[in-house]
Amino acid sequence: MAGPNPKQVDTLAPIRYLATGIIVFSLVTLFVIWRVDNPRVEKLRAEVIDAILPKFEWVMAPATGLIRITQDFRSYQSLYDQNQELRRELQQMKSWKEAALQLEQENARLLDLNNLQLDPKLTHISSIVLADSGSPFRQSVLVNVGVQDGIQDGWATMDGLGLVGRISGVGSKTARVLLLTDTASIVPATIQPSGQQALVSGDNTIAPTVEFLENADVVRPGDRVETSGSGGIFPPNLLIGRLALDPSGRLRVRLAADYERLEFLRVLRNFGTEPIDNPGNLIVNKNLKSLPDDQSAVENGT
Amino acid sequence: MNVKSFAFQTVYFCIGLLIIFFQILPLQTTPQTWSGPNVLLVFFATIVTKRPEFTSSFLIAFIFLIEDFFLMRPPGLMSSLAVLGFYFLKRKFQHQEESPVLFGWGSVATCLTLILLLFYFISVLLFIPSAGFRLTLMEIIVTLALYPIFSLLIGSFAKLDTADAETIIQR
Repeated sequence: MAGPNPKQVDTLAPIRYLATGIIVFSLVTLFVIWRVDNPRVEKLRAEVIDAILPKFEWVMAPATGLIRITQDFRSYQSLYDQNQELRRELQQMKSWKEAALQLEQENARLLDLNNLQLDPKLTHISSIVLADSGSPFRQSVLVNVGVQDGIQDGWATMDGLGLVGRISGVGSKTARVLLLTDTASIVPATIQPSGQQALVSGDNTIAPTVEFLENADVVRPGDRVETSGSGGIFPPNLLIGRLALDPSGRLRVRLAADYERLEFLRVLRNFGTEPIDNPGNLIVNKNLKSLPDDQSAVENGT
Repeated sequence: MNVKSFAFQTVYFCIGLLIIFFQILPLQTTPQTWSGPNVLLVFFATIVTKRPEFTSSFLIAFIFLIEDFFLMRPPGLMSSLAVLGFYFLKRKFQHQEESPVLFGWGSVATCLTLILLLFYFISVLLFIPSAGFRLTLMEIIVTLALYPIFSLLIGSFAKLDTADAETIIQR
């Protein structure tokens, strides 16, 4: 009973052989389809994750919390030193808070003077990080919002301070955020104050590289890196981080978002700006818009 | 026999899901400079070598496809390699009642290395973004190092089970 009967194995072997062949063939077919028609299979991936992950949501948060507590236990041992350090930092923060309050008041006054309206479309949806990519080869997280909450592919995702990544794959209740550190992530950026355009591309390190910089002489480490909004994927002027120079002389971005602890993310609603591909639309009155079409029709007819 | 096989496969499937679950807990959201072992691969390698009669290509394909989907790997690549690799491993181990330990470890090591290396090279050949050879090499080393531990752990369970069965037959 314990070991397999040799006769039985022999009779079943061709069937097993065939079944394995069929399974491998279908898996390879899936892979080839993924390589050729990526979006459709990625949609399938989002749906599979969406079907499985919400069932584990209730146990995911406690498990993560428990493991984090044990990880933090080491830091409890140096509690006193930490306390001292925090006091010092708090002193500094108080002075910053004063400065920030004054600036906020000044800003509000200036906005009022200019009668400026902030873009009402740019609102956000807060979300909780459910899972990460699970392997050191890819950098992404899964969040607990999806199509049900109106999330769309490509929307920018931030933590409180800076850009974290973009939505890449949406299920009905979950969505995947491709982090800026992933090797597949490329974001058009502007470097302030010089206004240089560049691409921030991830390379699986904590600091993504800055590539295709027009003129490297006018930027210096410490400059602000923001999204430029070109390409229409991200809204412009979202903070990415600060420029830094690595030991080998390459420019990198020190990210403003706290990647150590991605717990809550905000997804920015961005329906994009209306593309202006025909300059005439801006000037010509809508009622007269049919005129050029009629003319062109007449011209075609003759 | 069939019911028992089905029960064992369900248990293996659940353990596989558990492994994936612990991998995707959002504990490490920064890029790492080192790589952990591919636990699911080691687990199924151990099962295939210790209990070849209770594994099927379908189970392996299914659990690895789920892992492909969750870990953002190209769907189907790692799973097809795993199914093929474990099929040959299983055939090797099924026909031998008692294989020498070193020979067993050698063939498992070859199989796991081939799966991971092929995965890397196919990714590179097809221009799929990957994290570099250093991480892959590290993953292979750690994965191979984990196999003896798993093999001892699961091997002790397996021995217990066969011993139980024999006593029952003797009665």
